[in-house]
Amino acid sequence: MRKDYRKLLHLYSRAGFGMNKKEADEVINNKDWVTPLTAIKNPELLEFDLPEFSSNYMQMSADEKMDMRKEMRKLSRDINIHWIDQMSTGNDPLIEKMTLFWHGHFACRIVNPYDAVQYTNVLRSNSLGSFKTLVTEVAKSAAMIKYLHLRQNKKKSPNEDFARELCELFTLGRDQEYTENDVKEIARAFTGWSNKKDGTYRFNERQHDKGEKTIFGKTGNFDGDDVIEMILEKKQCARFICQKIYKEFVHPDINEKHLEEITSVFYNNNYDISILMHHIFTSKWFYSNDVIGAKIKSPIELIVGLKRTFDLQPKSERVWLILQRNLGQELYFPPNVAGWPGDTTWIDSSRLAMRLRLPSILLNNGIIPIAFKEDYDVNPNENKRKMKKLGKFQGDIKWSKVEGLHQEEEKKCTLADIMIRGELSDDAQNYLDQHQLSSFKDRMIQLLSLPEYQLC
Amino acid sequence: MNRRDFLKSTSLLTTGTLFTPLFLQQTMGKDFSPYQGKRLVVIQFSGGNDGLNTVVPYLDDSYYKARPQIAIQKSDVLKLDNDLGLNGQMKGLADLYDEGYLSVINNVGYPNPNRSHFRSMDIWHTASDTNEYLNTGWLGRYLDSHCTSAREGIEMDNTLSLAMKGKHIKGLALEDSKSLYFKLKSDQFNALSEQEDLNENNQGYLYKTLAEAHQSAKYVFDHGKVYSSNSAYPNSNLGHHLKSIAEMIVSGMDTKVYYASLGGFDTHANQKNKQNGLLKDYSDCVSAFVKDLKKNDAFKDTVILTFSEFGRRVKQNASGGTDHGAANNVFIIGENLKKAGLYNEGPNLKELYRGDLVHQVDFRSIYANLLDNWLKVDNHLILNKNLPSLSVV
Repeated sequence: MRKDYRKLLHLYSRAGFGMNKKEADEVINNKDWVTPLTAIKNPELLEFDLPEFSSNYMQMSADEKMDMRKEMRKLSRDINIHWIDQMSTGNDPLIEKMTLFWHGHFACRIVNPYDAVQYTNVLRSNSLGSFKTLVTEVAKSAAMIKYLHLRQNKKKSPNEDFARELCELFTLGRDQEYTENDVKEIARAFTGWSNKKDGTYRFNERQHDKGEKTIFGKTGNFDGDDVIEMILEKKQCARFICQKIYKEFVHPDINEKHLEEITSVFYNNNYDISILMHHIFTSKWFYSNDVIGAKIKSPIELIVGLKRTFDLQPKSERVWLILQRNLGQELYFPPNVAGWPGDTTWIDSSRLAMRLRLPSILLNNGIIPIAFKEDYDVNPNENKRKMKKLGKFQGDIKWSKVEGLHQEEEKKCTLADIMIRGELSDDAQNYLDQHQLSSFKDRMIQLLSLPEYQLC
Repeated sequence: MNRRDFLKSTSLLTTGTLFTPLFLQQTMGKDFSPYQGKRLVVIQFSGGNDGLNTVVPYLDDSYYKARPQIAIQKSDVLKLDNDLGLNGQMKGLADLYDEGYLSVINNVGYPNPNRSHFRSMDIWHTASDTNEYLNTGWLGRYLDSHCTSAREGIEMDNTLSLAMKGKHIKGLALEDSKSLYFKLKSDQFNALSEQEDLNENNQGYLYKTLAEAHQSAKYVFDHGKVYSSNSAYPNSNLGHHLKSIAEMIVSGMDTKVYYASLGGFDTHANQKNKQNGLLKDYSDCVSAFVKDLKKNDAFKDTVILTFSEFGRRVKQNASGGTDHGAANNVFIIGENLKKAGLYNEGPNLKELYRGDLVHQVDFRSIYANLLDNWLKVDNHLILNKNLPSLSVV
């Protein structure tokens, strides 16, 4: 493969959800590949029409409440699917990728559709903006206020949940430059952060503790904004965020020298995420051989990548939810506030078998196996038939169109070069050499069923 | 590590051939020696089983006061000892109790209980503290420390629970003895499972996992042809899963831990019918399972643990159901229990914390006991906690 293609395809596999040959050809001769990815003025938002918010939930009868909850659940499912769509068709790949990253970082379980849209758009608007604005806006989002009990954090009875995670998971890292006492005092600083019924932020003056607090050795009557300011003054915060970014966008094993380099860039540029990402994607080390193909795709990367490549439009869109659950990454449903641990934890024997089978299932309209144990409120024995139906993947693939987007050029870029990042193992190469197939579809499925397709 | 070394390290270590049943010799060859060690079977109730309507304090007035519509009536209780009785749907389990094969541990939980299904289930799976997030499960860490292959921990499902995920070894999830084998059955997967040089990066990890999956799937598939149970199990998910487990056990597989789940216990409304149906399913399945194992002389080496992520609120709600609670009961089933019957006193309904039962036994003490005395591995290495160990097994 020509070196420039190798680099470009690698860039787009990390800064987006991949690209096809036609897209690569359109960009390959541009001088600057990175700036169009990182300099985004007005990120697209997730557009989703929700019914007028009704606040009379408390006055409803039990049956009406039940219906309402059912409707909410349906809307939440639709939003999830809509986000999957957005990721595979959005105009700005890096906005999509960063939003997904921040969702894992500010991990939050969300059941209310209004909260889900609000939270997602907070992430989207700030995904390449200022980290300070991002933290502040996330802390003010209804989703986070509910998830980490900020509403229960009151002057007379502080709740430390948010304060603890703010330090441990969102900014500094576990036990880094803060004490138990700091957590207590930070909780006091955030008292009064609350939201209205419709999810908009409201500062509840009456519940705010105006007294003096001592945080990181400084004393004053700090509020939440002051605390965020004080945390960001610590270089450790930039380092912690850069560690996570490096693992996600560069390599699962951190190179300390590179980490120090990007930490300084991030810190010295006032936590500007766009500048940080631009620096990473223009670094020589980002394109080194041991980085390319080093990452195990997350389930969402795998699903969205496939959807994007083949423009998959299944008859029942709920299969996207089933796949997420099956592969272990469901949007709006991280395992806990620490997010998805990622890397090798995505893979165990059974899940690898499922992931290797997935391309042939999706591209041949097969049946997706379903997991039953996650059903807490449904009797599994009544549910089996329904689940069977749900598992049918009836996608409508226009193969000639797909083939048109993946035109090979022997010298520049073969089909394997387009679909696989990193070097093929000897075994895989030998296998391909010994089993040469003629039809485009068969070759495609053969390539996508290689373990290497699980990497990016 | 090259593939040959890798396979060597995960191949069958032969235990002393005490006595190999004829049918095993016929299918698996004369040199085959079945695994003779201990096994643990875990059954998970997903959704938070209401323990009070499972093990019923049928002489306690406050129980009936708190649950005017949904309490289990005295006439529907299968009496155990003291003032406790089993839900009348659990005839099979009551028989196990009478035979001395069941230990009921009351008031099990952990400090600062969490009322989210998912978080609380994670806590039970990882054996963590409430404010600690671990990425490995307690059984996964057992696999890490004590086993060499994925197939030594098997879960009956399409996906693997956190409980079964170690850092290095993660168990095997399968629907039955054949499904995984057929998933991986293709020339391409066969060829790629023969990779010789495994490098240390993620590509190597994938190939290693593929080889492992391939090998395990074949092992399970081959054993699946050995013994087919003719015992009558209920025609339910759990029934099929326990039947599969019994077949794997009897076929001499060297799996140490099996895992199965029964869902649907989140009974916020119309609890009585739903829960009764699930408890009956469980009781009938477990009863059939124990009979099957006994018939094949395999019950003496098997212990069954049944748990749920939390119990439920003592007071019923307005929809004829119950909301999320805290402490709950746990069942241990086995042939030679140190302490069969009621392990400790029943719940105290007079001393609640915010309407919930208060725990007296930390669930990790039960794990500690199973690890130390059954699976024979120092519990501290797995749990990293300093908790007293119970003595049930």
